[in-house]
Amino acid sequence: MMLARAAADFYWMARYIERAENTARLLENQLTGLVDTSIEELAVGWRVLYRVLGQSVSVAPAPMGEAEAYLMADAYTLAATLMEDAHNPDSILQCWTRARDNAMQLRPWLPVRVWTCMNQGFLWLRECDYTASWAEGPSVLPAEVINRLRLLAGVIHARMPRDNAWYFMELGRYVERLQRQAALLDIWTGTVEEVPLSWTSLLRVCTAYEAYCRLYSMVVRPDQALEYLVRNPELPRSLRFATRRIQHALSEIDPTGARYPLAPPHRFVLRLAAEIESDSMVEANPLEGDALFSNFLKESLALHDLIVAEYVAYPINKGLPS
Amino acid sequence: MVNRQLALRVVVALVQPCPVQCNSADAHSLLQQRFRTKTYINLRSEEGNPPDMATTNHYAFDRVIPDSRQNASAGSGAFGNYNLSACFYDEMFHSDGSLRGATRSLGAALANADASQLAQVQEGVVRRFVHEGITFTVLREGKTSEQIIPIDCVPRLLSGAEWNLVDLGLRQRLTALNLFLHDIYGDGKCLRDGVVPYELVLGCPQYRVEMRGVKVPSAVYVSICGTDIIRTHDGFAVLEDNLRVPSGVSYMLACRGAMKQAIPRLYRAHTVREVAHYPQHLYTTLASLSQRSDNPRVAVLTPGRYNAAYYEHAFLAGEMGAELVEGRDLVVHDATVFVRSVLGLRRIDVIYRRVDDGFLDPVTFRSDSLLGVAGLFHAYRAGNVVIANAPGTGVADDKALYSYVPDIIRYFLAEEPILANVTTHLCRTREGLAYTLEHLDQLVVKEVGGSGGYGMLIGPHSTASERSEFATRIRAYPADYIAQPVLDLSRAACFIDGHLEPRHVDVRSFVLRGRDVSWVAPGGLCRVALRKGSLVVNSSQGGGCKDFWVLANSEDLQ
Amino acid sequence: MSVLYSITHELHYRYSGAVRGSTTTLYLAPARTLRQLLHSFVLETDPGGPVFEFDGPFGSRGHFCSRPSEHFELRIRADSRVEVIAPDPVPHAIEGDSWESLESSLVEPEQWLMLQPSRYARPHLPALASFMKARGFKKGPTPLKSVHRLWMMLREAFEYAPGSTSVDSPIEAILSSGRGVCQDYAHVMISILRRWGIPSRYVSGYLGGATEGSGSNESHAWVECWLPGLGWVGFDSVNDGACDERHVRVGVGRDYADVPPVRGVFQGVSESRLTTRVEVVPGGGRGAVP
Repeated sequence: MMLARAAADFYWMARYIERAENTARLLENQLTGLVDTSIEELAVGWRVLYRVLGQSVSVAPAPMGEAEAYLMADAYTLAATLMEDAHNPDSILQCWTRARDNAMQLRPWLPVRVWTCMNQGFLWLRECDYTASWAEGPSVLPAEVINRLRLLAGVIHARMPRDNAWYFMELGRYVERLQRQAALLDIWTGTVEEVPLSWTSLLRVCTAYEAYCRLYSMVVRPDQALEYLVRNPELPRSLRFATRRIQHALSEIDPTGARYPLAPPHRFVLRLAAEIESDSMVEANPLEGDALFSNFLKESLALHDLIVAEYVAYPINKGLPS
Repeated sequence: MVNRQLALRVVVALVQPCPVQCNSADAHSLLQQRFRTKTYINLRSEEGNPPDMATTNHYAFDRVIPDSRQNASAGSGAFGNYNLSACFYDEMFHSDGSLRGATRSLGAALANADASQLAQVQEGVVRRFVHEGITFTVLREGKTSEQIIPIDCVPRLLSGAEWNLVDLGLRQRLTALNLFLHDIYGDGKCLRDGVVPYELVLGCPQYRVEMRGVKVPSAVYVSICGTDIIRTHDGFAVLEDNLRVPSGVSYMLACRGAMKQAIPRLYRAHTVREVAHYPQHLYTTLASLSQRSDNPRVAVLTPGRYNAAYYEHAFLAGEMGAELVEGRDLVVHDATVFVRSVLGLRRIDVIYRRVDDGFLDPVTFRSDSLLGVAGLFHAYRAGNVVIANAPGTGVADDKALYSYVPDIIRYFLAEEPILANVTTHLCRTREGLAYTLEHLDQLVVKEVGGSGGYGMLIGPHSTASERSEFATRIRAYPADYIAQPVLDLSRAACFIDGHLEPRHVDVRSFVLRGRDVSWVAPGGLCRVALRKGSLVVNSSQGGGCKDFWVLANSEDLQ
Repeated sequence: MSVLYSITHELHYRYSGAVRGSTTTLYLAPARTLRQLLHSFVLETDPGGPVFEFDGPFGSRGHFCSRPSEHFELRIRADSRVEVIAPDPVPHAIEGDSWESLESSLVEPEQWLMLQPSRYARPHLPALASFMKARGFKKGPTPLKSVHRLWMMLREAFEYAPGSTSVDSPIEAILSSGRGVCQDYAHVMISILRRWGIPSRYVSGYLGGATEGSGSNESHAWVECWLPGLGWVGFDSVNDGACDERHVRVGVGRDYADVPPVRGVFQGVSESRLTTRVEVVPGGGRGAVP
């Protein structure tokens, strides 16, 4: 038996871990670029980064001509907001704090090692000196965060039994990923910036560049990159991959809901899968501001509501044993 | 029993500690002794044995020294700063400074350790607590923060023979208290016979009229009891009973776990009675009370993670394989309790509640409760769920009722109490009030409803103005106060600021009682007043804890 | 003499939004006693759900119901037909009426319990002491005389004012304003009697009348106290003092909190509004006990 509240906590814990990792990767990519990227591209990069996270840049852009002088200072502040700002609900520190809060609720269900890994990581991040680490190198801290998160992921992978708790974490992880990837693709296919967005860096952010090169070629073509990020069944950050994992997790959690008549979340995710299969998705024209992915993003948000309504916040009479 | 003269003497002792003269050990000879005693008798010695535990253990003081009688006494080695006082029973040493039988081996190992080794052990134990998140929540300046409970790395030892008596006394006490509760929520025979003044029971805010006539499974009202026991020169005595939601058992288990890891060889050499089975015993106890099936579903009802003892609730649920639930996870329908699972509602048979009974059910008790479950008490009354401890048990751990427990034991069991009570003056009686007001500077005055060391006056440590203020309060509401002499709590060795020093301790014992099953955890949570001279052991008031080893028999080592 | 009443008690909860479920405890069933014959009792709820009967702490009969489905309003209707036999009138003097005999007659936990402070009846409240001092409320020469004098004094001291207090007003409210309803009168009377050492308890019920429309159209409450030689005797300081065949009794407790007609909670984010309707109709006419 799985407690509904605990399921929700597992779900959210995984979502926060995924969110922290996503932010850390975007940030690392951006900060690595500080060395060799043009100022215009960097400015666009920051804007895109914040938009992917559903926020607007909180600092005014530097005056023309002085941008070079402000480059590092701006980067420092902008990165700090995403890294350790207690008022920014999506900062990595906040995500980790909330994931740990969920884990704390889950102590009786969580293998001890998973908790200690989570807790040690949290204590490290809370105590770490952002300024000192910046002096060492701007991308050092996000890189270390990614390492710590991968350690956590490894411990979770090795220690968690594949029971309902695991599958709710899978749900959380891939629902979050689906939303974040949809947001990324929405920006790459639907925005016109003064500097064209680089599909290569999109692939890099999605840790898909090397695999893409092996599959297609060194020359990144937007249509192929889009096809790859939407439909490839093997790429962990493709929409199809995430959707399939969600389908799998749902059928493990609720096998009867996977049979006809389908339970609402099952039905809905089936619809998302069908949309991914349809050709319109990969034919989205980057220059025409197509709303396809923003629709898809909205639908993936609705999926979350359906999951909560079905397994967590159902009315009493619906849940009574027959 | 502590008499008046003794209490007076204790007061003097508190102001001026009187150290016993001890010889300071010669460092050189100590060093020689250490070389001499390098032959280990333990199976897990370093030479020629499987390199499992022995090699992983890097703490130098964790070693068993064979003929330990020669080389340790108060004042020697690491005990150089250890002040024995004739006023207080010392858990490690006889009053002449020689080691007690049970502590011979540990004492020798400690005496031969140097401060850095001890510090290493202490650090390891604390680190383990931090990493495992063994915390309690404190409210300070309106904010909650997590703190680890201070732990001391030197275990307290007790011989098996001595503990056996305590064990019997605890069982006897709980049996009597359960009979008492059954009586006051039923016929009220003991009230009619005047064993306990009726207003003390019926006028107690913890008396739940709703429980009158309710059929409690096997008449076990208290299944989980936490009784605080102190030791003085006169032997063991009960300080108070906790019959509602006693906490602390997870710290007992955590202390034990940490010490097993920190000093494995010493632990193994002492045949220490095991407490680690507590969760299994708890599950058996709870399950035995359920009428419904062989494999009842047990839930631990917690107020939530902001409760000071949330760690413990989670820990126990995890260890028992029970559901850890909050009020919002439960639903009562058809006078049956269900838990919300991801695939619908599932029936719950036993609830180990860690919520005060006033908050259990908003349609029966406090209507402003958000922690409870609407209708829970109806399901209980209908016999469809077991609640442990039963609502309304708080009436029997009231500080004023406490002084009648020996009479309750005599009345219901026709036996003399095995464990003594501490002398208690009830301000609600005329003599008690007069005595208390007259001796306010020598007594500890406690509020009847208070707990956790709040709302009390420690006479010898108080100022005249504090006393006169308290006297006014006592005169206004005499029934709300009791007074006890300053207790000469025994002292145990603690590692403090690089030295071994004696500190006052008590122990919270844990007793379980189900249908035809009963278990007393051998030992319990030893609580330490870490501040020098302090007698307050509550963790909310600067107290800490340490492991408590009860040996299998009175002999410490063969 | 006996009177047959038909009583209807309706409760109607309206919620501002959908409620996921609700749980209610009810004390609406007239008691079955030697002087009260319950011919029928029917409890209906809409939306429906299982109803459980239970025995409350002092023998009061309660009902508990829960509705698991989503709803916007909740109706509860209790219909009862009950025959009340007039109690013997309370004498003004009896043999053995003394404080000593009162004390020696207290031997049961049920009596002692009714001497203890409870949530609404607080004998040791400083505000009560000063109120009694200001009004000259003093113990009489005997328990019976004290009670008789007390209900009359209370009737003079307070003004019966419906709507002046709510169900959970503490007695401080009526002591300071001098206005209250039957429930407040009862709580003050109980507090004073307990202060004097006379066990007293709270009775909830209905007040009927001889003809249609002469009874009350709401719940009623009065006091019972233990007197040596008489046992538990009812007093109604709002009406004529002694209780008679108009008093239909439902529940007994230390105070209102033990036997509220209705107590409920609901799950969901919503405001709730409760309206009640009580109708007490003399149905069988006056007549001799068969």
